[in-house]
Amino acid sequence: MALRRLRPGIARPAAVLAALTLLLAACGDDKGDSASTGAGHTKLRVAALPLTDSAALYLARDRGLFRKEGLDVTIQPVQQSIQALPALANGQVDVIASANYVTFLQADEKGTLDVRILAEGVRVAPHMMDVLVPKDSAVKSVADLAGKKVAVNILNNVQSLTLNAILDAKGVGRPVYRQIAFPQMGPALERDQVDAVHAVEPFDSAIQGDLKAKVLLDGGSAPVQSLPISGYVTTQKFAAGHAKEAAAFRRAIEAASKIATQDPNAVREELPKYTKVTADQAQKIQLPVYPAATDPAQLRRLTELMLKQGLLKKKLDPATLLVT
Amino acid sequence: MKGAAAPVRNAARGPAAAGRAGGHVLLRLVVLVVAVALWQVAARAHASVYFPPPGQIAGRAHELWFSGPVGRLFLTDAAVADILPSLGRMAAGFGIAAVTGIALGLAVGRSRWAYALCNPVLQFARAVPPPALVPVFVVVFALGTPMQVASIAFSAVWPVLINTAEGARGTDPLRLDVAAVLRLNPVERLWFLLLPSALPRIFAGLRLSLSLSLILMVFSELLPGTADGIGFTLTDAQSRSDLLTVWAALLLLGVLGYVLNTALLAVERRLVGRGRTTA
Amino acid sequence: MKRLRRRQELWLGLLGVLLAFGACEAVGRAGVVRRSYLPPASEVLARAVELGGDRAFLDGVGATLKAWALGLGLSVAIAVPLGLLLGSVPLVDSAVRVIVEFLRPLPSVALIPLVSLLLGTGTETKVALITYACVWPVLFNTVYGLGETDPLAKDTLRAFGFGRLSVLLRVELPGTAPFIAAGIRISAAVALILAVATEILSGFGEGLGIFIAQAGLATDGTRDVLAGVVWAGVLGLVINGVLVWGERRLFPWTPERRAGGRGGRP
Repeated sequence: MALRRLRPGIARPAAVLAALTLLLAACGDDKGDSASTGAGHTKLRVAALPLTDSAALYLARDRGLFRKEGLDVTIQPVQQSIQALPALANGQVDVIASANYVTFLQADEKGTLDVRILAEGVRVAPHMMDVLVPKDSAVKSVADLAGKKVAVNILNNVQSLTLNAILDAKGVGRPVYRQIAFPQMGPALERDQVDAVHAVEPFDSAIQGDLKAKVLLDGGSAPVQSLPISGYVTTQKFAAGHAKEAAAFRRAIEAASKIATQDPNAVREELPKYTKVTADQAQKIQLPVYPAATDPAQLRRLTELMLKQGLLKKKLDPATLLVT
Repeated sequence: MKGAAAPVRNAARGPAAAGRAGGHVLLRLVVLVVAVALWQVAARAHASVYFPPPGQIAGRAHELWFSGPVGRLFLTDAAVADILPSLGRMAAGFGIAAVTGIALGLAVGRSRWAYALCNPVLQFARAVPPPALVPVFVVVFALGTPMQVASIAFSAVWPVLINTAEGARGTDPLRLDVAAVLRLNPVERLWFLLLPSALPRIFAGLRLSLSLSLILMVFSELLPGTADGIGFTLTDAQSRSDLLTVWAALLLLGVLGYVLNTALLAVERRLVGRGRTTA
Repeated sequence: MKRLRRRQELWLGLLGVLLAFGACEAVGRAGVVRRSYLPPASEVLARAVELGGDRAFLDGVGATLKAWALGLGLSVAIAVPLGLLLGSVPLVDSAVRVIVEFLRPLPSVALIPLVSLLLGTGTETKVALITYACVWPVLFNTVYGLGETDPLAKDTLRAFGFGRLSVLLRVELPGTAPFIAAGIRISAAVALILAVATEILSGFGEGLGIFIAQAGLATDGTRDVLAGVVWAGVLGLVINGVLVWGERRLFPWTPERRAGGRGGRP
C-alpha cells in the first residue's frame, strides 16, 4: 500500500464533527439543585406511575393545591417506581409518588437509599386488585390455587405478599408465582400460559371485559384490607434540607386525598388525563382508598407482614421513617 | 485480506519463542493480580455499599453457586437451577442463530440481486432493540423457555447472516470460473468453494453473535414468565437492592463470557488456521 | 457475478422492503391473534408517521440521538489512541490484553442497574454505557488495521530518519483509517441499539426508548410500541447508510471486501 496523506477533504468534516460533539456536550443536563426558588414558588420534581395510585398527586396539581402551598410541581411519568430510584438517589427528582413500599423499605434496609416517607398514597380497597381465572378454568375455588401458576407484576413484592397472607389465613397452600407485566397478563391468560393472574385496576377490569375472565379471589380481602401499598417517598437528605417544602407537599397531598375520598368522581375524571384509561373505563373501575392522614399503625401492619414472609431481614418501625 | 487461509503450521521455533510466550503469560498473570489487588484496596478504603470489595463479591458468588458437594463439581442447587438452564438457552439460541445465519447468509450472498434485495430489510431488523419486541414475543411464543430461546435467536442471527453474506460475496471470481470449468454441482461448489472462502468472515460474525447471545440471555430473562437464570438472578437482586448479588452475577457473566470467547477462538484457529485473528 | 449499478441496488432494496412489509401485513390481517395484541403492519406504519408530527416524541428522539452521538464520540476518542498505543507497543498490548479480555465480554445491559445508581437516569448513564460497549469494536479494528500497514512504507520513512511518532502519524494512521471507519460503523449500530435499550430498561427519563417503555404500560399499547420500533429501525438504517456512503467517499481505494465485522460486540 503506497504512502498516502489523508485526503484533504477529511479535515473539514472531522472538525465539524468535533465541534458538534463539543456543542452537544456543553448543553448537557445539569444535575443542579432541583428545589430552586423562583418568583416565590419552589420547584419540585416528582416521578409518578400512570396508575390510580397517583390520582391525589394529579388532583393536587390540577386543583391548584400545590400552588396554594407555594410549590411548583413538575411530574415525570415512570413505569415502575424502582426505575425512579436512581434518579431519587442522585437528586434528579425530589419525590417519588406511588412508590412501592416493599421496594423502598428493602432499599432502605440494604443501605442503597436513606428513605423517608412523606405521606401515605393508597391503601388496598375491595376489588381494586383481583385474582382472575379464564371463564372455563379448572381452578374453581380458592383452595385449588395451591401449587398453580399465578402471574404477578413483580416477584416477591406487594402482590405476592398480600396474596400469601390471604391464602395463609384460609389455610391454603402457596401458589407458584411468575413475573408478568400487567399489560401482558391478558395475552398470557388467554393462551393458558398461567393458571391465574393477579391484576390491578385498570387491567383488572380490562381483562374481565376482554376475556370474560372470572374473579376467583378479591385481592383486598382479609387480612390485608386497607393495607398501605404505595406512597410518597423521598430521601433523608431532601427531607432535612427542605423541611418546609416537604411539609407543604404533605399538606397538599393530604388535602387532595380528602377530596378523592369524598368525591370519587373527581378521581374518575382525572384518570383519563394522565393514564391511558379511557373515560368509559374510568367510570367502571374500582378505586383504592386514599387516606387523608398518614397512620404509622397501618404501615406497621405492612412491615410486620414483610418481616414474617422474609422480605425484610430485621424488624423495622416505619414511624422512624416518617417525616413529621 | 484473508481468503481461504490454509492452516499455517508454525515450524518448531525453538526454546526462544517458547520462553517469550511463557514470559507473556507471566506478565498477564501479574497484571491481573495487581489489578485485582488495587481494586480490593480501593473498595475497602471507599467503603460504599455500591462498591463492595472483590473479596466479598467472590465470597458471595461462592456461597451462592460454588459451595456445593464435590460430586457435582462444587455446584450448589441454586447453581444447577440457574446457571445450567441459562447456558442451555443461550446455547440453543446461539445454535439456531448460527445455523440459520450461515444458511441464509450463503443463500443471500451468492447472488448480487438477492443481496441488494435483502440488505435494507436486514439493516432495519438488526437495528431493532431486543427489549422492544417483548409484546410481539409474548403473543407468538409460549411463556418461558420457547420465548427466551426465540428472542435470543432472533437478535443473534443478524451479525452471522450479514457477515456470512459479505463473506460469500467476496469469493474470488477466478475460483468460481474454475468451478464452472470443473462442472461442480451446486452442493460441491458450496462445500468446497463458498464455505471455505467465507469461513473467516463467518467466524467474525459468530464471535460477534456469541457476545451478543450473552447479552441477549440477560435480556431474555427479563421476559415475562421467567423463573430462573443468571440474568433473572441479576434483576431480581437489583429489585431487592441486593447489590452484592448483583456484583456476583456480573462477575459470573464476565467469566462466562471470557471462557466462551476463548473456546470459540480455539475452534476458529483449528478451522481457519493461525492467520491474523483479532482479539 | 456481475456488479450491480448503484441505482439497481436502490430499486431492489426498495422492493425488498415492500415485500417484507407486505408479508407482515398479511400475517397481521390473517386474524391469527387479537388485533389489540398484535396490530397489522399498516396500522403500525400509520402511527409511526403520525408520531413524526408529535413535538414531544421528536424531543425524545433528539435526546436519544444526543446520547448516541456523545457515547460514540467518546468511545472513538478513547479507542483510537489506545488502539494505536496497543498496536505499536507489543509489551503494553500483552499486559493490557488480560484486563481487556475480562472486561469486554461483560454485557453492558447487565451494568445498567449499577451505573444508573451512580450516575442517575439522564444522559450521563446512557453515554457511559454506550462508550463502554462501543470502545471494543473500534479498538480491535484499530489494532488490526495497524497490523495491516505496509511495512515497506514504514521502513522507507524510517530510512529517511523520521521518528517513531512521525511514522505513526504519517503512515500508520492513514493506513489504519479505513479499518477504524469500519469499526465506527459497527459501533454506531451498537450505540443506537444500546441507547434505546438502556432507555427501555431503565424506564425513566427522556428518549425514544422511554416512549416505547411507557407505551408498553397501556392496556393496548402494542401499536405505539411497534411504531417506536419502526422509528428505531429506520434510524439505524439511515445511520448505517450515511456511514457506508461516508466510507466510500473517504476511502475509495479500499476494496469492498474489508475487515469490517472484526472485534467483539459486547
